[in-house]
Amino acid sequence: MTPPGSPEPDASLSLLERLVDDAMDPGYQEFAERGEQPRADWRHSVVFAVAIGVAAALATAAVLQVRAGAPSAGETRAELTDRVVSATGVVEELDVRLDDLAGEVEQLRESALDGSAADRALAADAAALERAVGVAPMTGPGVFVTMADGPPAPAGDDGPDLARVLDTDIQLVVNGLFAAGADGVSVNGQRITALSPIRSAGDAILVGFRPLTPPYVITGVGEATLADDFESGPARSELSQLEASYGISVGVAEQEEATVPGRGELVLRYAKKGEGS
Amino acid sequence: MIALLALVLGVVLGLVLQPTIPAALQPYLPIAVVAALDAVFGASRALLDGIFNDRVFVISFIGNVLVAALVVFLGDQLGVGAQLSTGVVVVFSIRIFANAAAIRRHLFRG
Repeated sequence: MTPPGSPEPDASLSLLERLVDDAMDPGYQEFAERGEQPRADWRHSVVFAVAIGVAAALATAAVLQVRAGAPSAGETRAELTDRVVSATGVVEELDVRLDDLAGEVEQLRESALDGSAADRALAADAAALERAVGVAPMTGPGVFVTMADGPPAPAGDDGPDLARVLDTDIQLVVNGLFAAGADGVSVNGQRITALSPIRSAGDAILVGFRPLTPPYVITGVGEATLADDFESGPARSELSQLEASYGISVGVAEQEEATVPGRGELVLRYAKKGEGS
Repeated sequence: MIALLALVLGVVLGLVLQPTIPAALQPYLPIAVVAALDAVFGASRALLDGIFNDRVFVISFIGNVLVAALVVFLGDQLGVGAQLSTGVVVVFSIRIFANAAAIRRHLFRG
């Protein structure tokens, strides 16, 4: 510890001081002190000018290099965007193909199970199961629940945006619809099955790993009493609370005929190819 | 006056010739530029002090550039290239500011 007013400055401070004091190359001072006469003035100027020219050329080259590198970031971005777009296109094509193949499978099954009464009972069972697990589309009396984000928080408010629809809100409605007896539920045109996660990733809500864009329309299809049961259920009162406290807009509309799409894919987990016949 | 002409000439030459720096040397270019700038500022100050010496200047110019590049190169080999570049840039920046301040005092006093 050095007492205040000590002539010995802090080590780090002396480092900085030396840096500033010796800013000019000490060689100049040394030569001047040795009494060596500076040479003729014009040569100094020429050497100095050449050095400045070289430094300027170097700096220009560096700037050019940096600017040549800058658009490459934009190019990378554009290329990534292209890749995302083309990959999305591939996914859409595959979706169409999946639907085609699912239709084909259904036709083949119908023609295969068209013989005896037992076969036909099996086909009816399969059809009922398909509706239940969400493979086949369903149409019937239903209810539309529309949710949208409330007005955004005023600028400067750093707190969490409470007026946003969250994944748990979507879950609430979906579960409420199932509790009210819905046979099929879809969110923004995506069928909810036992294997459809509803979760958030960052700011987006994902259903079945696909992001949703607001507003969120949740469709339930079931018995004619579905809308009334949902309206009187616990989910509805919780929704009203969301509406009142956070400004999330919620609309519930009864539909005489609503449709939920099928999921179109069925993974065989346990069934094995039969032997014989 | 000559210095100013040389500055313009250097920029024009850089723009016209568009020298391509080998990829291996590219990381050292900004450091070399800062080191060269430091040497030039130091020389300007010496010139105004009346103690400019072309030998000292040439040696400090080339030495600064080479040593700065060498330090960063070593840092790259040791895996601390970014930190050492920062260190070199900080040191040279402080020197440039100090020299610039001295030059300013000269110019406004005269």
